[in-house]
Amino acid sequence: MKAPDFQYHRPTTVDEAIKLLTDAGDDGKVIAGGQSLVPLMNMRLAEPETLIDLTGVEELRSSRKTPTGARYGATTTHMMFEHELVPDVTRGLLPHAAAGIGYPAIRNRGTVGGSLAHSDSAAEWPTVMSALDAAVHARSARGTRTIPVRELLLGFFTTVLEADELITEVEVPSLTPTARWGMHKMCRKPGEFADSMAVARGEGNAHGSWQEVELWLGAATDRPLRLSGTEAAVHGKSSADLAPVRLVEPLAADIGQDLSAIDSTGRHALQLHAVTVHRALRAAERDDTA
Amino acid sequence: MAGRGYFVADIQLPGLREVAFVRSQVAHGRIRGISVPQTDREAVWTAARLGPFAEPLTATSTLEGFRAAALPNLAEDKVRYVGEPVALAIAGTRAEAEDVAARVGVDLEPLPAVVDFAAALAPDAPKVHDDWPDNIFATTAGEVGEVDAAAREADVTVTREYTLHRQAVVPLETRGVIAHYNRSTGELVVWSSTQTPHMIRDMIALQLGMEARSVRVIATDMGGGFGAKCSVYPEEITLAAIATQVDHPVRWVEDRSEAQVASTQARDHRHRITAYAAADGTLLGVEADILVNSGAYSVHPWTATMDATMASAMIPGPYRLHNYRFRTRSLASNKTPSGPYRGVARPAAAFSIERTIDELAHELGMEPYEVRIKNMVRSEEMPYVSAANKVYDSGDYPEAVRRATALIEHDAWRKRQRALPASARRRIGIGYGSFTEQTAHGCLEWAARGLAVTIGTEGARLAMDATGSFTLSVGIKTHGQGSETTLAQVVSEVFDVDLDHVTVSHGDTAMTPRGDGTFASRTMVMAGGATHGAALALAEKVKRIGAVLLDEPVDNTVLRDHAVVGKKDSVTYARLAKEFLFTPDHVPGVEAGLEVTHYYRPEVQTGAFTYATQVAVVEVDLDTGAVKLLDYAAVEDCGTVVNPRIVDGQIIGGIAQGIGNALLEEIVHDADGQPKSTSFLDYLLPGATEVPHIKIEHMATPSPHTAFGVKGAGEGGAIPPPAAIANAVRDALREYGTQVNETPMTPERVWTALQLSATTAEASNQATREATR
Amino acid sequence: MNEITVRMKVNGRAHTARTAGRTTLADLLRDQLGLTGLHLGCEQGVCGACTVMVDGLPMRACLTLAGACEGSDVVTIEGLEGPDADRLRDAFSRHGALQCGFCTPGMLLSGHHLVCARQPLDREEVSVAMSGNICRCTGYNGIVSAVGEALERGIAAEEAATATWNDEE
Repeated sequence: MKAPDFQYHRPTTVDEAIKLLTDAGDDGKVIAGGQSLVPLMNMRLAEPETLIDLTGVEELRSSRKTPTGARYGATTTHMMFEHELVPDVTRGLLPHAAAGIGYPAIRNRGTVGGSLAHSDSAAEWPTVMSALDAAVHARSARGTRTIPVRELLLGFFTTVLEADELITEVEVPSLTPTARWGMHKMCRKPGEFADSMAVARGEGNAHGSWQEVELWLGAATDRPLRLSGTEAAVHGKSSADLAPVRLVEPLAADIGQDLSAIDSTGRHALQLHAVTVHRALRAAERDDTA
Repeated sequence: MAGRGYFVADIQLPGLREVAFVRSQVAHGRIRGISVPQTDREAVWTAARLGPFAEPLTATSTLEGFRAAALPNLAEDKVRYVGEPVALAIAGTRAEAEDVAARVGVDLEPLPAVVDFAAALAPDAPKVHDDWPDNIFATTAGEVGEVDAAAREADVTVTREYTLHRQAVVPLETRGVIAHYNRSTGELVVWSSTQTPHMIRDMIALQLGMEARSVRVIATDMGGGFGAKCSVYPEEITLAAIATQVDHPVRWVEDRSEAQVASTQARDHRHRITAYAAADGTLLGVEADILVNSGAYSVHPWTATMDATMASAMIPGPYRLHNYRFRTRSLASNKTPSGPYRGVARPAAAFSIERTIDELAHELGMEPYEVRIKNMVRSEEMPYVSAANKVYDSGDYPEAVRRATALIEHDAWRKRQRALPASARRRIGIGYGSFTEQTAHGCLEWAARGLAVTIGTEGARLAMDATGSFTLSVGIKTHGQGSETTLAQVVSEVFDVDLDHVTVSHGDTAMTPRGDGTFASRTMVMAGGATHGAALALAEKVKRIGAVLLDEPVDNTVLRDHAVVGKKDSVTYARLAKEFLFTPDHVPGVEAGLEVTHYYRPEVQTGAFTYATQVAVVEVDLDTGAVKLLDYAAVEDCGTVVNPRIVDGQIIGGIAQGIGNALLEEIVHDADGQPKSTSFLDYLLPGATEVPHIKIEHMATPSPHTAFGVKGAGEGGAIPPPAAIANAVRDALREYGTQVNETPMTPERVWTALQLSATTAEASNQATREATR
Repeated sequence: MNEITVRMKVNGRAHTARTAGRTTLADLLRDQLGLTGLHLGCEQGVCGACTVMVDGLPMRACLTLAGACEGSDVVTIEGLEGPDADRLRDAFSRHGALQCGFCTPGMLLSGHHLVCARQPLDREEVSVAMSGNICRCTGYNGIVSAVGEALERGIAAEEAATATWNDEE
């Protein structure tokens, strides 16, 4: 299990990185923490000819608050979110999500930009950043552009990024002081990829029922999914009014599954999604009951 | 702990080159051709090139009707499982060897694969071995007593089908082999991460057509074995053969994705059990129909029937069972060959009988632990000959159950279980698993199972050197069990010396007397027995030497505190050894030599029976099917405990593996026989969060058949956890009548079974309501 | 083959190595620097046997390219020293926290990082924090006890030192 041979570059500036990426053409690949890419290369499932390592680019590691939120350098590690070494504008959602990624040694190396570019919907950042309506700033020799995460992710390991484009920053808008959020990750063991992952965010009314709610689900399809139908079922209610089983039908519709044609594996997966969404809702309501 | 372990992958030799294998990517296929680029011809070996230098090994058995098939060193005509070695490449580094291997083209005609039990048995099934009439390695059957009469007498009958799916063994260090042929001495040295160095040496010599005196096998430090490293593998023979043909040493270190398909696997049992009982819970009879999916080939020396025959022998368990009928069929399939794994078939046997005992208890409305106590062999009946003709030697089986209920605080858990409101979305359950385990069996026992190699002796050589310190050489290979410590303790006890004056040498065939290896929980009994024999003989001689030096009768001397102590004076071992070895003329009348080799063979061939009862308390999430362990206790009796910390380590480690068996670990195959769990991302192992703090109590009844009453302790921990945990889940879901009959009990399996039973329960409630309307 | 030059400090000593660009930190340390204390158990980042410290943080050497460690400070089990390391090794011995020893270097490095953090943790929290290291032999009970105890002793030693320092003032 050794990676195939490749040209290795470790630039120290974004400009240099972009030049290398442009020169490499379609055979180039960017690596940051490498916690998802290196296993794939070790198994020879990914065989890039040129690898451009961003860990030497200082400017990609800086983060700052903005009037509307915060901008995080693309190679900000999960650990830096977890321990709030970067500003949190989400009232705890980013640190909470980061703490659930892999194991400590993985979080010390893996990066937010790398995770988004890798686009695995069973990983944390794609779903969480979609739910937060974050955007990535991407640069190439042709200029810069801002891409909402909701538009960035196309499927497993596929994004709208061009071969010569590099994520430089992730911009996250602040959560309002009244917004509530809840996240639940369902997995067999700590550190595993999710079997299901849900983020609920929105506003409650005076009775604790959901007034506005946005639900995002990861690990169900090849990209994070907005659950519009399920949101409608939740509207005006709280998790206590809703058993998970009542979310199954709207969820199946949101995911695009035919309940009558489902096998037992699919049925259990759907059940896990329903429970996960329910637990995310309940987690979001924690302040109401406190 | 300073990073000074020395494993096969750590060894540095001048000129050493690395090997990468080309392995079959399909489960079943006919090889049309293998293409190697011109520039790689020297670096690549195929069956055609290897053939003249090594014969493939055929595992044989004396079981009637057993079908043998050679296990190819490199596949020649057909491949029969994903991961089967087809070719290998040699280069300066492993990465470069993988580059070369990637350029080897294997042209295969895919054939339909035999994957599961039903497919293997189907009348029109494709055949794994073309010249066999079907896919059955062997069938065995037997009956003791009169099962049909028991059936007629029974007040209650239960029939269940249990499946323990396939597992990988997963020592954390994978296998590894280095072979080096010294042209000037003609010696072939093979380093292998193996539990059985002497056996590997014999088979390499035989398959290569060499005299064994020219073959030396060294097992260095090992990162676990658990059974995966005690068969003879094609990679060992292949590397040894190639080393004799090239001018440099070669090394292969198995990587994890190889290990998940190329190291022997285990379980893959399906048992159909019918049990008959009287209304008071007395077990009257049991029938067992046992299927084991053994994979593509038999491995030497165990063969593909090892699991099935062991399961049939151990299903009677610790119970007084007089009427027992069984049939076993060991099936060939397009999966990795099965081999030993900690517990060998007994986790499956225990699952079957223990789940069935609980089913009887539920039918009769009794506490399952009471049904156990009622039916267990009692201490006054020892020694007891079981329905499978095993001699249970000693102990108090029911007492282990009673102590287990106390240790787990059974009644307190029952209270907490009942206190949960019906509206809660979780349930608590308590489950028991008892077993009795044959350890350290002798030759006749292995012969009875049809083995061509009837393991059953073990050697130890103990030498006192001129400084009065001790070197013990044993044929076993310890790999983390701490046998160096426990064997040194035997010497220490006999001579009354501190442990740090005893060196234990093991694992190198050139340095140790012949032995069979470390497996089957035999080390302490067999190597311990050999060590004890050698130590007693040497001690007798040391006393005689001491008597001459002290000028006192031998009967006046004792061995105490590093010295021979007489009535008047004493002589330290250091002085005694120097006198005897430097100036033997000072010790007239004592024959030369200060070392003894002793071979141990147990008098009672059916071994010493370790037994235990384990209890699991689980919480089941009704919404997801997830099972969490809340509490766990084990009460066990492995005879005299030589070193409590080491025994506890074996038990807790075994339980952790049993938890993996019960809840997490499964090699999943798709319909084409493609394994889907070839990495740790898909094959889940228990971590620190999956193993609760385990409570242990020892009973320590000495075995009458072994030196100082020890029984084996290596495997027992791993045997009952699947049964105990399944019984606990069944107990938790008792109100729904959910059957929990498969391992691992994944959330999907538990939840799906719950839905099925809840629907049935709902339907029957509905029917009752309608009937009473 | 595409070669690179990497400069890094390993266990306090400066090294310059020529190696293939594809070489991982694990392979560089094991094969070129002879530091075989770290082990390869899966090469997929799951088992934790290859854990080393890079710039003060535990990382998977199997998932870290050697080139990415240019200018880094690496500590392996061979260089793990100091009072916390001594406490941890002592606790590992007494609690039966190792059998075959293959996972042990990774366990010690992960555990050492926890001990150094001085954050009080209960048994369950220690288990979660250690869940990224697989042990196939011990069943973890001894490992969790050993790490927990070394952590407590580390905290106690620090408190004692602080108290002494305050007294002296």
